[in-house]
Amino acid sequence: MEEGREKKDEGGGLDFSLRLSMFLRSLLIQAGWNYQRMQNIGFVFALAPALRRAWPEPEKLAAAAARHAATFNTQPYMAGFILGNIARMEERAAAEGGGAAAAERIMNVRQALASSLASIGDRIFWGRLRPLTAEVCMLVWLAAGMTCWIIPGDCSGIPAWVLFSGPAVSVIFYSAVALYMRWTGLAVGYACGGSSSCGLDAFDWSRLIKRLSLAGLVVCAACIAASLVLLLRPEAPSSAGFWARLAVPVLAFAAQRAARRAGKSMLFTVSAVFVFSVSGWAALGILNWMRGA
Amino acid sequence: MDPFLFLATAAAAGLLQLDNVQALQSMVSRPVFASLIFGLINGCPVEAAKLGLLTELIYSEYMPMGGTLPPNGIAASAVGVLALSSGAMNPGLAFFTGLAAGHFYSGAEFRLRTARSGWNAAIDRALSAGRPAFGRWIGASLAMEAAAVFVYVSLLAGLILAVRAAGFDPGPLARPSEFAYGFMPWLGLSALYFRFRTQTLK
Repeated sequence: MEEGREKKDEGGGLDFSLRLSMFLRSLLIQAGWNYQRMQNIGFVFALAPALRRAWPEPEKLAAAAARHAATFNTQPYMAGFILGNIARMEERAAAEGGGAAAAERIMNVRQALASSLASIGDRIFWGRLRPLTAEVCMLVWLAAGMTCWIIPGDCSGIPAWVLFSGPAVSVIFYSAVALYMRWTGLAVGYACGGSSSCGLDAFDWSRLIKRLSLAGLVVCAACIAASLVLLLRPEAPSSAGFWARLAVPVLAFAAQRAARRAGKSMLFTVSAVFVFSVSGWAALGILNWMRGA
Repeated sequence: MDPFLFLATAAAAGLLQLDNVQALQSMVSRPVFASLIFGLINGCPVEAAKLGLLTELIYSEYMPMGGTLPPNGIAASAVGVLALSSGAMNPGLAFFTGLAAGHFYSGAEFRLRTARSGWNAAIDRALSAGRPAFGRWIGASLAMEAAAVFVYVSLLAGLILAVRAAGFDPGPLARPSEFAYGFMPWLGLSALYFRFRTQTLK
């Protein structure tokens, strides 16, 4: 851990223009994603400035690019760690005259890091930060008085800044973390270039993941509590009584719990709610028609 | 429905799709943000914001890990907002139609990704010839992706408008779909609660 922090603090000697160029290109790492070799096109595109610097001779440059055009896939925000690392390894390989052994080592490190960092990045960004920022959006909206997404009622007259406040806060929060990780990853990766554990010890990932999970749970609980208070207050704009209003969240939680226990997907649950609703209405319609007849 | 607004929404969806799967991934393409933009274009920002947040909550369950194809929030939001703003559907039905549109876009995305696999042979040939030009492949990929969403949203939303214009009345579905729509915030919140609780207890 300490060693990792030292490596991170070094900055790695990656010069600014190369770092900026690789950073901007790494924003396109997902472009060209294909089933055969996944992120290979985006990876070579992002690595190209470092390859051009390491291998000025066209034939050696083409050989290095061809190596990296092989299968590659990782979490896009974590790719900086691998790009920085490989840039440094390519520089060293070029300084030592290249060779098959150096090329094989580069590819082994690239593959090992891609899988490990993908697992960490998926858990941080897709599994936690993304839903957490959606919760932040809800909290901001609730605080700003935009409540018609949870309580049926008239929402007209809500100013544009209120509408934008929730999504803007969540996008800024999410993007700041993602961009920081991309930018820092390049320097950290370059600083410990050559190591197959490069980046894995740059931060205390386990602690970060646990804290994000806890934050997600706390913010979610706050959203649910605030929404329930708004829904159940006597002056809520609804013609339904207290128990009828309470029935909606209770039934939704019960349906969600049952679906999870049965291993069903979210879209299955949503579809089930829609189908039950339509069939219930149809049954009521038929009953009314029969009574009338 | 103003054809200019219709096309502007589909074009905005195409551009936002680039952020969604190809470039940046800054999350301006998330349904909660994208819907608001589509709503502003079509003059219904509040209802679109609600639709976007609920789509975001439902789709939060799906993660784009590895080669998995989650439902597409941009297609869902764009089709939902167009169905709503055109008056073809009530908010509830527009939301569920949007969700279905986002779900079925995965098939189109699968085909795009499969088609790009064919590029690798050409890239290998270009590398052998010393003319890699990766920028061109990246550009082609961006153009393909944006065009695919533009066409998908235009066709689907156009179909909804055509069916409505032909006299199909979704009126009988209005009340049940609104009733089911009322459950969506709580379904989304409960999904988040169970997810984070499981993660915290791990």
